[in-house]
Amino acid sequence: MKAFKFSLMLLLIATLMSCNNQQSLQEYYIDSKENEDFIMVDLPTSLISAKSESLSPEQKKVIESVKKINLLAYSLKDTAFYTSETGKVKAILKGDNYDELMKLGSTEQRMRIFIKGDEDAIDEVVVFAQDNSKGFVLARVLGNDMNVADMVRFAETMDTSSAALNTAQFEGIMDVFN
Amino acid sequence: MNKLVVTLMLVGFSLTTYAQKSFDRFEDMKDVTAMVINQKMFKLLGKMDLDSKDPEMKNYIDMVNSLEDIKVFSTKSANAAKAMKGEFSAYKASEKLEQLMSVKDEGKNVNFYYKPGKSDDFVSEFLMFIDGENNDDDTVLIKITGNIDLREIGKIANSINFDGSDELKNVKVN
Repeated sequence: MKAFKFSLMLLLIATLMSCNNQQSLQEYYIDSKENEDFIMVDLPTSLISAKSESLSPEQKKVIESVKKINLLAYSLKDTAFYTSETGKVKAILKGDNYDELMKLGSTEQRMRIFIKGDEDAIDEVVVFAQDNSKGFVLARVLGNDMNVADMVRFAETMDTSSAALNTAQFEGIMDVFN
Repeated sequence: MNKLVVTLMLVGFSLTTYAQKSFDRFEDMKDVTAMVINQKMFKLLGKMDLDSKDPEMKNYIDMVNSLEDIKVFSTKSANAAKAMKGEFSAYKASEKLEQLMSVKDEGKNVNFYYKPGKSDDFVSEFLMFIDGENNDDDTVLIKITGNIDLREIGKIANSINFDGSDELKNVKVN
């Protein structure tokens, strides 16, 4: 009986430890910030709403539900580094309560989309795209009870109001895949 | 007593390591292109146009909401195709799938299988397998889980565009 209790304890400790060792995506972003090999863009939505007079109240509501957009990109230089970093990201996305919406691609090129939260009140959207010969992009949209239906409607109206949105920041990121 | 503990722990470990579902290994297999859509995605899609009063749209939403997941694997590699065929045959036998129909279309052998659901028209699983082993075509495996209305399979094919989705449009029920 003693042995049984002991092994139970061991098992418990092992599970607890594995939880603690889990790095969160936020921590991963912070850790990678120091590294010059990464291209990093932090886009607080306050930047977008600067010219918000031209937006309707519904559009404002959508923008306000989004707090921050984080982009992290790595243009392939060192394959070993690429492999270890994508491995880390995959492990984080596997744990930490992310729900995978879908994935697409092969072992060479792949895109995966995750969310955190309920379907109609999403707290975080993560898009992870990798290409074994080019690098990877990790995009994260952080918000509070984001609603996809509203966002789609918002995206539909984007074309007309895009002048109000500053997208220049994204261009550096897109260069990675050129 | 000690032996019992060890056995229990071993059983526990083996359960966690072998809990992988069928076909999952193709998601990370070399030369295999995979598309996986999970239930959360369907729930999201279903919520997107809830205000729509169009009956056609409502039908579509009902269908989307009844799906659990869609997996599509396709490959040109002979090795992967062989593995896929083997796993499909094993799955067919172990899950007691029933054949819906088999079509020979432009030299391709297309097979449709299902796992019976709550009624004749509704199935709980729908599988399509295109064997491309003997020619230059892709070997394609599609697996759809949920409460699937066989009459609506064509609609799924219309809304998603992937290798072999054309074949799905040919599914006819009575």
